[in-house]
Amino acid sequence: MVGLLLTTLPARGASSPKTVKLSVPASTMWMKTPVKLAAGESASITATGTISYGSGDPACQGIPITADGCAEAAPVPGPAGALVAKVGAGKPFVVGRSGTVTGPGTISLGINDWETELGNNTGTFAVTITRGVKPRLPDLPPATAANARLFSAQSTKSRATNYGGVTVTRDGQRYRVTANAALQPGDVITTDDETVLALEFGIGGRVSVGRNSSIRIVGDREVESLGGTTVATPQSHLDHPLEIQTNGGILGIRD
Amino acid sequence: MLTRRLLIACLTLVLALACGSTALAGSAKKPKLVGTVTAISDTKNVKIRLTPTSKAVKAKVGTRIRLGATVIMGKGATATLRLKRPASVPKTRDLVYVKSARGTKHTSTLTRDAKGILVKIAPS
Repeated sequence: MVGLLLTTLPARGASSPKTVKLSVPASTMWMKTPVKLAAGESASITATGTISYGSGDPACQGIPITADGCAEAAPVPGPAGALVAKVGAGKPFVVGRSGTVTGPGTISLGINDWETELGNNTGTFAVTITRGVKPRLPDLPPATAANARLFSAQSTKSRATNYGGVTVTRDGQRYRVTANAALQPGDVITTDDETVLALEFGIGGRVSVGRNSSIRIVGDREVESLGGTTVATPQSHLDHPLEIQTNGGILGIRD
Repeated sequence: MLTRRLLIACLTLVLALACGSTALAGSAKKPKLVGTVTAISDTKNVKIRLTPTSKAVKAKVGTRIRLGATVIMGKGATATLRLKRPASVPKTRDLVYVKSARGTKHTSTLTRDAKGILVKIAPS
Protein backbone atom coordinates (compact mmCIF):
# COMPACT_ATOMS: atom_id res chain seq x y z
CA MET A 1 0.00 0.00 0.00
CA VAL A 2 1.65 3.20 -1.15
CA GLY A 3 1.19 6.18 1.14
CA LEU A 4 -0.38 9.42 -0.01
CA LEU A 5 1.82 12.31 -1.06
CA LEU A 6 0.29 15.30 0.66
CA THR A 7 2.34 18.36 -0.12
CA THR A 8 5.36 19.38 -2.08
CA LEU A 9 6.96 22.58 -0.85
CA PRO A 10 9.57 24.79 -2.60
CA ALA A 11 10.69 22.81 -5.58
CA ARG A 12 14.31 22.55 -6.65
CA GLY A 13 13.34 20.84 -9.85
CA ALA A 14 10.33 19.07 -11.20
CA SER A 15 11.66 15.66 -10.20
CA SER A 16 13.52 16.62 -7.01
CA PRO A 17 11.43 18.63 -4.55
CA LYS A 18 13.38 20.06 -1.59
CA THR A 19 10.73 19.21 0.99
CA VAL A 20 8.26 16.36 0.75
CA LYS A 21 5.44 15.71 3.22
CA LEU A 22 3.77 12.35 3.28
CA SER A 23 1.92 10.01 5.57
CA VAL A 24 3.19 6.57 6.49
CA PRO A 25 0.40 4.19 7.52
CA ALA A 26 1.18 1.95 10.49
CA SER A 27 0.41 -1.10 8.36
CA THR A 28 3.14 -0.26 5.84
CA MET A 29 6.53 -1.85 5.40
CA TRP A 30 8.83 -0.27 2.83
CA MET A 31 6.84 2.45 1.23
CA LYS A 32 8.95 4.01 -1.53
CA THR A 33 9.08 7.80 -1.26
CA PRO A 34 9.59 10.11 -4.25
CA VAL A 35 12.92 11.25 -2.75
CA LYS A 36 15.96 9.86 -4.54
CA LEU A 37 19.28 11.01 -3.12
CA ALA A 38 22.49 11.38 -5.09
CA ALA A 39 25.74 9.93 -3.75
CA GLY A 40 26.73 11.86 -0.63
CA GLU A 41 23.50 13.88 -0.59
CA SER A 42 21.67 13.92 2.72
CA ALA A 43 18.12 14.48 3.84
CA SER A 44 16.51 14.96 7.21
CA ILE A 45 13.40 13.02 8.19
CA THR A 46 11.01 14.14 10.90
CA ALA A 47 7.90 12.28 11.97
CA THR A 48 4.95 13.40 14.09
CA GLY A 49 1.75 11.72 15.17
CA THR A 50 1.05 8.45 16.93
CA ILE A 51 0.01 4.97 15.90
CA SER A 52 -1.49 2.01 17.67
CA TYR A 53 0.84 -0.96 17.62
CA GLY A 54 -0.92 -4.31 17.63
CA SER A 55 0.84 -6.30 20.30
CA GLY A 56 0.27 -8.54 23.27
CA ASP A 57 3.13 -6.85 25.12
CA PRO A 58 1.84 -4.39 27.78
CA ALA A 59 4.74 -2.04 26.94
CA CYS A 60 3.17 -1.38 23.54
CA GLN A 61 -0.44 -2.52 23.68
CA GLY A 62 -3.24 0.01 23.82
CA ILE A 63 -1.07 3.11 24.09
CA PRO A 64 -0.39 5.75 21.45
CA ILE A 65 3.10 5.21 20.08
CA THR A 66 5.24 7.98 18.65
CA ALA A 67 7.74 7.40 15.84
CA ASP A 68 10.32 6.60 18.54
CA GLY A 69 8.48 3.30 19.11
CA CYS A 70 8.01 1.24 22.24
CA ALA A 71 10.06 -1.31 24.16
CA GLU A 72 9.53 -4.57 22.35
CA ALA A 73 11.67 -6.70 20.09
CA ALA A 74 11.30 -5.89 16.40
CA PRO A 75 12.90 -6.97 13.10
CA VAL A 76 15.04 -3.83 12.71
CA PRO A 77 17.30 -3.51 15.78
CA GLY A 78 15.59 -0.84 17.90
CA PRO A 79 12.14 -0.11 19.34
CA ALA A 80 9.03 -1.76 17.91
CA GLY A 81 6.56 0.48 16.07
CA ALA A 82 9.26 3.06 15.37
CA LEU A 83 9.62 4.75 12.00
CA VAL A 84 12.32 2.93 10.04
CA ALA A 85 14.04 3.82 6.79
CA LYS A 86 16.39 2.42 4.21
CA VAL A 87 18.14 4.10 1.31
CA GLY A 88 18.15 2.15 -1.93
CA ALA A 89 18.97 -1.47 -1.16
CA GLY A 90 20.82 -0.43 2.01
CA LYS A 91 20.41 -1.83 5.50
CA PRO A 92 17.24 -0.64 7.29
CA PHE A 93 17.65 1.48 10.42
CA VAL A 94 15.48 3.24 12.98
CA VAL A 95 14.80 6.92 12.24
CA GLY A 96 12.45 7.62 15.14
CA ARG A 97 11.00 11.12 15.41
CA SER A 98 13.98 12.64 13.59
CA GLY A 99 17.01 11.42 11.72
CA THR A 100 19.29 11.98 8.76
CA VAL A 101 19.87 9.71 5.78
CA THR A 102 22.58 9.87 3.15
CA GLY A 103 22.44 8.76 -0.49
CA PRO A 104 22.73 7.26 -2.98
CA GLY A 105 19.30 5.76 -3.47
CA THR A 106 15.59 6.21 -3.00
CA ILE A 107 14.35 6.60 0.57
CA SER A 108 11.88 3.95 1.70
CA LEU A 109 9.98 4.24 4.97
CA GLY A 110 8.08 1.80 7.13
CA ILE A 111 7.06 0.70 10.60
CA ASN A 112 9.33 -1.50 12.64
CA ASP A 113 7.16 -4.59 12.79
CA TRP A 114 7.15 -8.15 11.49
CA GLU A 115 5.67 -8.27 7.99
CA THR A 116 3.02 -10.80 8.99
CA GLU A 117 1.96 -8.64 11.96
CA LEU A 118 1.50 -5.33 10.17
CA GLY A 119 -2.24 -5.82 9.68
CA ASN A 120 -3.11 -5.19 13.34
CA ASN A 121 -1.52 -1.72 13.45
CA THR A 122 -3.59 1.43 12.96
CA GLY A 123 -2.88 5.15 12.51
CA THR A 124 -0.29 7.05 10.48
CA PHE A 125 2.87 9.07 11.01
CA ALA A 126 3.10 12.46 9.29
CA VAL A 127 6.59 12.52 7.80
CA THR A 128 8.56 15.42 6.37
CA ILE A 129 11.66 14.75 4.29
CA THR A 130 13.96 17.69 3.62
CA ARG A 131 16.76 17.05 1.20
CA GLY A 132 20.00 18.97 0.87
CA VAL A 133 20.78 18.81 4.58
CA LYS A 134 24.48 18.71 5.29
CA PRO A 135 25.31 15.82 7.60
CA ARG A 136 27.10 16.94 10.72
CA LEU A 137 30.55 15.45 10.56
CA PRO A 138 32.56 14.50 13.63
CA ASP A 139 35.51 16.66 14.70
CA LEU A 140 38.91 15.70 13.33
CA PRO A 141 40.70 13.66 16.00
CA PRO A 142 44.24 14.67 17.02
CA ALA A 143 46.87 13.66 14.48
CA THR A 144 49.25 10.90 15.48
CA ALA A 145 52.09 12.16 13.26
CA ALA A 146 51.21 15.76 12.44
CA ASN A 147 53.38 17.44 9.83
CA ALA A 148 51.08 20.26 8.70
CA ARG A 149 48.30 22.43 10.00
CA LEU A 150 45.30 24.15 8.54
CA PHE A 151 46.48 27.74 8.36
CA SER A 152 43.32 29.44 7.10
CA ALA A 153 40.07 28.83 5.23
CA GLN A 154 38.08 31.57 3.59
CA SER A 155 34.80 31.93 1.75
CA THR A 156 35.32 33.30 -1.74
CA LYS A 157 31.90 34.98 -1.58
CA SER A 158 31.90 36.73 1.78
CA ARG A 159 35.71 36.78 2.33
CA ALA A 160 34.97 35.61 5.87
CA THR A 161 36.73 32.76 7.63
CA ASN A 162 34.89 29.57 6.68
CA TYR A 163 36.08 26.22 7.99
CA GLY A 164 32.65 24.72 7.28
CA GLY A 165 33.57 24.35 3.62
CA VAL A 166 36.55 22.11 4.36
CA THR A 167 36.50 18.40 5.11
CA VAL A 168 39.35 16.04 5.90
CA THR A 169 39.14 12.35 5.09
CA ARG A 170 41.29 10.22 7.38
CA ASP A 171 41.24 6.40 7.26
CA GLY A 172 38.09 6.49 5.14
CA GLN A 173 36.13 8.69 7.56
CA ARG A 174 35.19 12.30 6.79
CA TYR A 175 35.71 14.92 9.49
CA ARG A 176 35.04 18.59 9.93
CA VAL A 177 37.94 20.84 10.84
CA THR A 178 38.67 23.96 12.79
CA ALA A 179 41.49 26.52 12.72
CA ASN A 180 44.99 25.11 13.22
CA ALA A 181 43.77 21.52 12.78
CA ALA A 182 46.78 19.19 12.81
CA LEU A 183 47.14 17.16 9.63
CA GLN A 184 49.16 14.05 8.95
CA PRO A 185 50.33 12.03 5.93
CA GLY A 186 47.41 10.28 4.25
CA ASP A 187 44.87 12.99 5.07
CA VAL A 188 42.81 14.15 2.09
CA ILE A 189 41.70 17.76 2.35
CA THR A 190 38.73 18.82 0.23
CA THR A 191 37.17 22.23 -0.34
CA ASP A 192 33.61 22.97 -1.47
CA ASP A 193 32.57 25.30 -4.28
CA GLU A 194 33.05 28.50 -2.29
CA THR A 195 35.98 27.85 0.02
CA VAL A 196 39.73 28.22 -0.44
CA LEU A 197 42.29 27.23 2.19
CA ALA A 198 45.95 27.36 3.07
CA LEU A 199 48.04 24.67 4.76
CA GLU A 200 51.35 25.27 6.45
CA PHE A 201 53.99 22.57 6.74
CA GLY A 202 56.01 22.12 9.86
CA ILE A 203 59.20 22.48 7.83
CA GLY A 204 57.96 25.71 6.25
CA GLY A 205 56.16 26.37 3.03
CA ARG A 206 52.51 26.86 2.34
CA VAL A 207 50.12 25.18 0.00
CA SER A 208 46.87 26.83 -0.99
CA VAL A 209 43.93 24.83 -2.23
CA GLY A 210 41.37 26.38 -4.56
CA ARG A 211 37.61 25.87 -4.69
CA ASN A 212 36.27 22.38 -5.44
CA SER A 213 39.75 20.97 -5.03
CA SER A 214 41.29 18.08 -3.23
CA ILE A 215 44.82 17.28 -2.06
CA ARG A 216 46.42 14.43 -0.16
CA ILE A 217 49.29 14.90 2.26
CA VAL A 218 51.87 12.38 1.11
CA GLY A 219 54.85 13.00 3.37
CA ASP A 220 56.60 15.54 5.56
CA ARG A 221 56.93 17.95 2.67
CA GLU A 222 54.88 16.38 -0.08
CA VAL A 223 51.30 16.79 -1.20
CA GLU A 224 49.42 15.24 -4.08
CA SER A 225 46.91 17.28 -6.02
CA LEU A 226 43.90 15.05 -6.66
CA GLY A 227 41.89 17.63 -8.57
CA GLY A 228 41.29 21.33 -8.87
CA THR A 229 43.94 23.95 -8.16
CA THR A 230 46.83 23.80 -5.72
CA VAL A 231 49.20 26.71 -5.15
CA ALA A 232 52.63 26.22 -3.58
CA THR A 233 54.67 28.92 -1.89
CA PRO A 234 58.07 27.68 -0.71
CA GLN A 235 59.66 29.57 2.15
CA SER A 236 63.28 30.19 3.02
CA HIS A 237 64.26 26.70 4.09
CA LEU A 238 66.95 25.64 1.68
CA ASP A 239 67.29 22.12 3.08
CA HIS A 240 63.63 21.28 2.76
CA PRO A 241 62.15 21.55 -0.71
CA LEU A 242 58.40 21.36 -1.08
CA GLU A 243 57.10 18.55 -3.29
CA ILE A 244 53.76 18.65 -5.04
CA GLN A 245 52.43 15.83 -7.20
CA THR A 246 50.17 16.93 -10.00
CA ASN A 247 47.69 14.21 -10.78
CA GLY A 248 44.68 15.64 -12.53
CA GLY A 249 45.00 19.06 -10.92
CA ILE A 250 46.88 22.26 -11.65
CA LEU A 251 49.75 23.54 -9.55
CA GLY A 252 50.25 27.28 -9.22
CA ILE A 253 53.59 28.60 -7.95
CA ARG A 254 54.01 31.83 -5.99
CA ASP A 255 57.16 33.59 -4.95
CA MET B 1 61.16 78.51 -44.41
CA LEU B 2 60.43 78.76 -40.75
CA THR B 3 56.85 77.58 -41.29
CA ARG B 4 58.11 74.56 -43.26
CA ARG B 5 60.57 73.61 -40.50
CA LEU B 6 57.84 74.02 -37.92
CA LEU B 7 55.53 71.78 -39.95
CA ILE B 8 58.19 69.04 -40.25
CA ALA B 9 58.91 69.27 -36.51
CA CYS B 10 55.22 68.93 -35.70
CA LEU B 11 54.79 65.95 -38.03
CA THR B 12 57.85 64.24 -36.49
CA LEU B 13 56.44 64.84 -33.01
CA VAL B 14 53.02 63.42 -33.94
CA LEU B 15 54.66 60.36 -35.55
CA ALA B 16 56.87 59.79 -32.51
CA LEU B 17 53.91 60.03 -30.14
CA ALA B 18 51.89 57.61 -32.26
CA CYS B 19 54.75 55.09 -32.32
CA GLY B 20 55.26 55.46 -28.59
CA SER B 21 51.63 54.86 -27.75
CA THR B 22 51.56 51.79 -30.00
CA ALA B 23 54.66 50.44 -28.31
CA LEU B 24 53.16 51.07 -24.88
CA ALA B 25 49.93 49.36 -25.84
CA GLY B 26 51.89 46.40 -27.15
CA SER B 27 54.00 46.03 -24.02
CA ALA B 28 50.98 46.32 -21.74
CA LYS B 29 49.40 43.29 -23.38
CA LYS B 30 52.46 41.10 -22.94
CA PRO B 31 52.66 39.52 -19.47
CA LYS B 32 55.81 40.16 -17.45
CA LEU B 33 58.74 37.77 -17.59
CA VAL B 34 58.89 35.63 -14.46
CA GLY B 35 61.48 33.02 -15.38
CA THR B 36 63.09 30.67 -17.84
CA VAL B 37 63.34 26.98 -18.60
CA THR B 38 66.85 25.99 -17.47
CA ALA B 39 66.78 22.26 -18.22
CA ILE B 40 64.55 19.93 -20.13
CA SER B 41 64.68 16.23 -20.94
CA ASP B 42 62.25 15.80 -23.79
CA THR B 43 61.38 18.91 -25.74
CA LYS B 44 58.59 17.12 -27.58
CA ASN B 45 56.80 16.42 -24.35
CA VAL B 46 56.98 19.77 -22.58
CA LYS B 47 54.76 22.58 -23.78
CA ILE B 48 54.02 26.08 -22.55
CA ARG B 49 50.73 27.89 -22.89
CA LEU B 50 51.13 31.64 -22.47
CA THR B 51 47.48 32.29 -21.53
CA PRO B 52 44.61 29.89 -20.88
CA THR B 53 43.29 30.50 -24.39
CA SER B 54 46.53 30.59 -26.34
CA LYS B 55 48.08 27.69 -28.22
CA ALA B 56 50.60 25.50 -26.40
CA VAL B 57 54.08 25.67 -27.88
CA LYS B 58 57.01 23.34 -27.35
CA ALA B 59 59.43 24.44 -24.67
CA LYS B 60 63.22 24.24 -24.86
CA VAL B 61 66.12 25.34 -22.71
CA GLY B 62 66.07 29.12 -22.52
CA THR B 63 62.35 29.49 -23.24
CA ARG B 64 61.13 32.50 -21.34
CA ILE B 65 58.22 32.02 -18.97
CA ARG B 66 55.74 34.84 -18.63
CA LEU B 67 53.34 35.60 -15.78
CA GLY B 68 50.38 33.22 -15.70
CA ALA B 69 51.81 30.74 -18.22
CA THR B 70 50.99 27.04 -17.91
CA VAL B 71 53.71 24.42 -18.29
CA ILE B 72 52.18 21.19 -19.57
CA MET B 73 54.26 18.13 -18.77
CA GLY B 74 53.93 15.10 -21.02
CA LYS B 75 54.68 11.45 -20.37
CA GLY B 76 58.19 10.85 -19.03
CA ALA B 77 59.32 14.47 -19.42
CA THR B 78 61.39 16.35 -16.89
CA ALA B 79 62.04 20.07 -16.74
CA THR B 80 63.64 22.63 -14.47
CA LEU B 81 62.30 26.16 -14.19
CA ARG B 82 63.91 29.16 -12.57
CA LEU B 83 61.32 31.66 -11.35
CA LYS B 84 61.57 35.09 -9.81
CA ARG B 85 58.72 37.43 -8.98
CA PRO B 86 59.20 40.89 -10.45
CA ALA B 87 58.78 43.61 -7.81
CA SER B 88 55.71 44.95 -9.60
CA VAL B 89 53.87 41.62 -9.34
CA PRO B 90 51.98 41.17 -6.07
CA LYS B 91 52.95 38.24 -3.82
CA THR B 92 49.45 36.84 -4.11
CA ARG B 93 49.71 36.27 -7.87
CA ASP B 94 50.53 32.83 -9.19
CA LEU B 95 53.65 33.17 -11.29
CA VAL B 96 53.20 30.03 -13.30
CA TYR B 97 51.05 26.92 -13.38
CA VAL B 98 52.21 23.33 -13.81
CA LYS B 99 49.89 20.71 -15.21
CA SER B 100 50.40 17.06 -16.05
CA ALA B 101 49.06 15.89 -19.38
CA ARG B 102 46.11 13.50 -19.26
CA GLY B 103 47.06 10.16 -17.77
CA THR B 104 50.43 11.32 -16.45
CA LYS B 105 51.60 12.28 -12.99
CA HIS B 106 54.52 14.53 -12.10
CA THR B 107 56.16 15.73 -8.94
CA SER B 108 57.23 19.36 -8.71
CA THR B 109 60.00 20.02 -6.20
CA LEU B 110 60.19 23.65 -5.15
CA THR B 111 63.28 25.15 -3.56
CA ARG B 112 63.82 28.78 -2.69
CA ASP B 113 67.26 30.32 -2.89
CA ALA B 114 68.77 33.78 -3.26
CA LYS B 115 67.87 33.88 -6.95
CA GLY B 116 64.22 33.00 -6.47
CA ILE B 117 62.48 29.65 -6.84
CA LEU B 118 63.89 26.56 -8.50
CA VAL B 119 61.21 24.15 -9.70
CA LYS B 120 62.22 20.64 -10.73
CA ILE B 121 59.45 18.71 -12.42
CA ALA B 122 59.85 14.97 -12.89
CA PRO B 123 57.54 12.02 -13.52
CA SER B 124 56.22 10.35 -10.36
